[in-house]
This record gives sequence, C-alpha cells and structure tokens, in this order.
Amino acid sequence: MGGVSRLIQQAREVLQIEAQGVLGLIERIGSEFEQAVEMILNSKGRVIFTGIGKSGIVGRKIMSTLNSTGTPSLFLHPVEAIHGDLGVVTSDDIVIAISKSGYTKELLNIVPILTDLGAKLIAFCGDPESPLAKESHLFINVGVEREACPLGLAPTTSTTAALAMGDALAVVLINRKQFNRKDFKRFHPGGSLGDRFSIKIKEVMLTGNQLPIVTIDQTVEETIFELNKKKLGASLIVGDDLILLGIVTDGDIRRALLHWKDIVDLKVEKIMSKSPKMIDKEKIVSEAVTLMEHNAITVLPIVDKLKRVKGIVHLHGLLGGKEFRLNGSQ
Amino acid sequence: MEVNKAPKGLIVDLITPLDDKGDIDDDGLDSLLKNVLPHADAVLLASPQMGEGSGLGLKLKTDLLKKATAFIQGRLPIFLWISEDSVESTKKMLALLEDLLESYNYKGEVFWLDSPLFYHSNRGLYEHYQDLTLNTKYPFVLYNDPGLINMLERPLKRCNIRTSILKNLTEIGKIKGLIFRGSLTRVNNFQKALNHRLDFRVYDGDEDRFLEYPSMSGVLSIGANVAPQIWNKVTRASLGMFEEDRKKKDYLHQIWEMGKLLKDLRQMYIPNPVWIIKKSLVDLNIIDFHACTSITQPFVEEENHLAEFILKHNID
Repeated sequence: MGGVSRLIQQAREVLQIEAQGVLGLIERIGSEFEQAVEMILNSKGRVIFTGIGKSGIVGRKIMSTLNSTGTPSLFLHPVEAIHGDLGVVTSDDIVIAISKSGYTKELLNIVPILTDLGAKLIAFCGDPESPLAKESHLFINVGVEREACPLGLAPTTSTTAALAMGDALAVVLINRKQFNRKDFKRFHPGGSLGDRFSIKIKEVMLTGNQLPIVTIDQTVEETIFELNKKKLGASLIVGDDLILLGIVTDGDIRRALLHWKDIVDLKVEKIMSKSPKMIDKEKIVSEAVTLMEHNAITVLPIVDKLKRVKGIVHLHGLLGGKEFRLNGSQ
Repeated sequence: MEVNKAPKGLIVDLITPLDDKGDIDDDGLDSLLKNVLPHADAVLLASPQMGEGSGLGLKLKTDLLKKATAFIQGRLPIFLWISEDSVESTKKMLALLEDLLESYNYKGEVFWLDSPLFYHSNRGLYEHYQDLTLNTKYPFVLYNDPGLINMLERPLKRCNIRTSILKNLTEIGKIKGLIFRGSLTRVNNFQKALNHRLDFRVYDGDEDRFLEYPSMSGVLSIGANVAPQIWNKVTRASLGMFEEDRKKKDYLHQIWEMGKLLKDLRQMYIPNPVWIIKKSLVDLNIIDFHACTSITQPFVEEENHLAEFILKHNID
C-alpha cells in the first residue's frame, strides 16, 4: 500500500484540528483573563470548578493542576450542588463554570444560587452570547472553530481548548505566586518519593524563626516554652555563634521529671543530650532519613562544617506527613 | 444597517426555481421557501453551485431577490451571490441589487456573497474590497471555492484566496465571514489568519467536510433543499445547540444515523446536484418545474431515485 493510510491521515487531521483549536485561543486571551488571574490571586477562598460530562472531567483536571501548584481548588458537581453540596461554597470563593455551549441547564440552575452566596463566577465557554457567559462576572472564551469528531457527537477540540486554557491559568498563577521547585515538591509529597529523597536537605529543612533554639544558659522552663511553640518535639541547645551543643526532646523532659521532680528552674544543660545526631545541610534527604531510622529519632539538626545550626528536619515531614514544610513556608 | 455578526448554523444553498419559460417560478420559490425556512438559519440565493448564479443574468437575479425578500420578510438572513465575470460588472450588479433593496426599504439582514477570484486575482484584492464595501451598506461574506475557479476558462495562477491576503481583508470590518471549500490544511491556515477577528464566521462550503469535522460557524448545505429538517437537526447537534436533547435516550445514535442518511442522500444528488434536486422537488410536489439554466441542464437525463429515497426514509 503506497502513501499514508486513511486511518493515519484521519488521525493526523484530528490532531491538526485540535492543535488549531488551541492556537485559536491565543488571540482570544484578553483582559478578562488578566482579571480572572487577579481575582484568584486576591481571593481568600478557593477556586471551585463545576461542569457536567466531559466539561466536568476537564474541570476536575484543572482543579488538580491548581491544587498541585498552590491554588486551593475543588470540584463541585452541578447536580450534587443542588442537592446540598452548595454548602461548600462561600462568599470568598471563585467558581469557574465550564460548558462548551454556555446553555447547560444543570449549570444555569446553580448560577443564581452561586451569585446569591456571593461567590464570583467565571465562565469558561465558547459562546459570548450564552446565558452562562452573560450571567458570569467574567467570560473566558474557549470557543473553537471546528470539532474533530463526526457530527460533533463528542466534544473533542472544545474540551482540549478548555483544558489548555485551564493550564494557561495555572501556569500564570504559578508565576505570579513565584511558585518554585520547592513549592512543587511541597505539594507532591506522595508523588515521587524517589525524587524527593534525592534533593538536598538544605532545600527542605526548616530555617529561621521556625527553628526551636535555646542557648546553653537558658532554663528548662524556657526550653519547654520553645519546644511547645515550635511543635517539633525537640529544642536545639546552642552556644556562641549557634554552635550546636545538645538537644532536648519530649523524652528528655519526661526523664528529667522522674529524676529531679521540679525541673523548671534547672539550667537546660543539666537535662540535654550532649551528643545529638546531626547532618550536614549539603547531604541529601535519603541520608537524613536513614540516619533518623537507624537511631530511632524523629528530628535531626542540620549543621554546617563548623557545627553551626542551619536548620532542622522532622521525619514525618521528609516522608510526606501533614507537617511537611519547606524552609519554613506554610 | 449595522450587522455585528453573520448568522451561525444551517445556510441552505437554495436552488433557483425556474418555469418552462426560464423565468423565476414564483409559486415554486414560495413553496420551496415555505418548506425550508422553518429549519434554516439563512438562505443563499443565486449561488454559483445550486442557485445557478453564473447563468441567471441581471434580470433573473434581481427578480429572484425581489421575490425572495417579499416572502422572507426579514425572518432570516439572506446571502446573495453577486460575483460577475469582471470587476465592473460585479460593481454594477451590486449597485443594482442595492438599489432594488432600497427601493422597497427592505429591513431584513442581507449579506453579499462574493467569490473574488471569479473575476479578480489575489493581487490588489484588499484595495478592491475597500472600494466595493464603500459602495454598499450591507456586509460581505467571501466565498473561497477552488472548484469554481478551476472551471473558469481563463487560467489563473491561484484558485484560492491567499492566506496573507485574507488576513488583510479581515481588516475590513464589513467582511463578516467566509464560506470555505478546499483542503483542511488551508482552512486551518485561514483560521490562524482569522483568529484576531472573533466576529468572523468560517462556514463549511463542503457538506462532507461538515459531516466529518463540523465547523462551529455552520454549513452551506445543498441537501437541505430536499431534507431541511434533518439537516437542521444534524447541524444543531454538530454545533452543540441541542444540549437538552443530548440527555434523551438514543440521542447520539439517532444523530449518527441521521448523519449516515445525509451522506447516503448526498451520494444520490452529487452527480448533478441542481438537476437531480430540482427533479426530486418536482416529484415531492414542492415545485412544478425542473427547468435549469443552460449551464446546468444535463445532456442526458439519467434516472434518479432521490425522491423515492426521501419518501422511503420519511425524510422531510
């Protein structure tokens, strides 16, 4: 058989049409898109996606992308919404409603309720004259010129276009928020353990005022106060120039209580562990985890070559627990 | 008259009903329009393909417009093909048609459909339209049909409007859309050039293309002369204008079957669409004559079973 088969030709045509649909959005992006970005950045609430059928699936994917790039987001099914789920929407939220035509009845049913609740509504649809576009605070045009499916039976180019516009929104938000690699890792603790374990400790350690630090001349009471405040289950005891001299953990406090009964006025030096395990900030996370597991400890001071305290890590954080933070960020 | 956007949906490429003397068949036109109008979003008169536009001449064209507007009364937009064999004669045709509409103060929407390469080369097209659009209050829709241009006796370097030229032409606000026939690659390139004009419509001039990969602006349909309702349903489904119906049981299957039926129907009229469709409309008692202009009349009138097929499948 010479030349390209009809099957391959058709597949190429579909890709050509879908690509053209996405390219067409370039000219369509305008001030409304900027306003949508500003609206989301200034919002105290979440970005809630809603849509039905394939538009709903697209909404779920964009929601997921926003969540993993630092914009709190959720999906609200329009039918479930009118059966109680609208309770999730607050006046601080922004609702992005996705519909190819802008005439989807289930969406139009919840539009007045959403606006009554005070939420801001952004329409992702292809028809500026549609009721959804007209009743929304902002209209983002995701219209395409041609579907790639015979008789338009299944939305093809139009869903690709909506998805691409969602990605455009997510990426612009990433840049505006200066979301970086570290942040991405923060939101993907379960995504790629191997990748996370290969990064340097200095990238994930807690630093600055997140460090639980007391000086060698302070009391146990002051140490307990710092320990409670920083919530890591340990305080680092330092001398001049932040040289690490010891560590006090919850366990050390319990043991001291049994030994001395009244410990609050004792100098911390009396109860601290004088040979704490520590690791260099240039080492990788997997080495820190191994060290902590072998020594049955949950916190590990991070030091430089002169043993000056540079940070601290918690085992749960490194393994992707809820308290996992990077460089003190929330 | 300020028109913001050309219509979206089904444009019926209307045949021109002629009587035995070669004049416009008034009753046939009314009857055809009565059958088509409830299902169409616009009608195209005197097209080079179905309307036998290049064989009608000045008198029949003006007559057709007068009678069609009298029946339509602004209920839906009319497209009228104005192209003649030279710039001068096209301008003359445009002026006459405009005067005609002015003479009875027609209030409905009218779009001049023009195939520029029918009488002009790509070179200087922008200036030509600057001039042409100045002389009319009605908007234009362009018609890119390489098949039509290839049939001309005079050789032309190009049978398609050049993409860069089209981009320039879209700077003229009065040009509202394009009916396109030709390759998918070209229409994609056209689309890229047109992206800055959000009000610009690109209709499929090829029914097969529309049934395969529907343009979201709509289609110019030949078959809608005989099957307007089914073409309406398929067009609306393709454009996503039937959101509610999508939930009905078997809806997608029904649309799929309708699409197949339209393709089968097309196979029956495509050998000589004007003559076969006129003949079928006579058989279906919609018009009384199947007279054609000399350019369309077949040398041998082959048997055709289109009307039989339509009746058998209960198509209306």
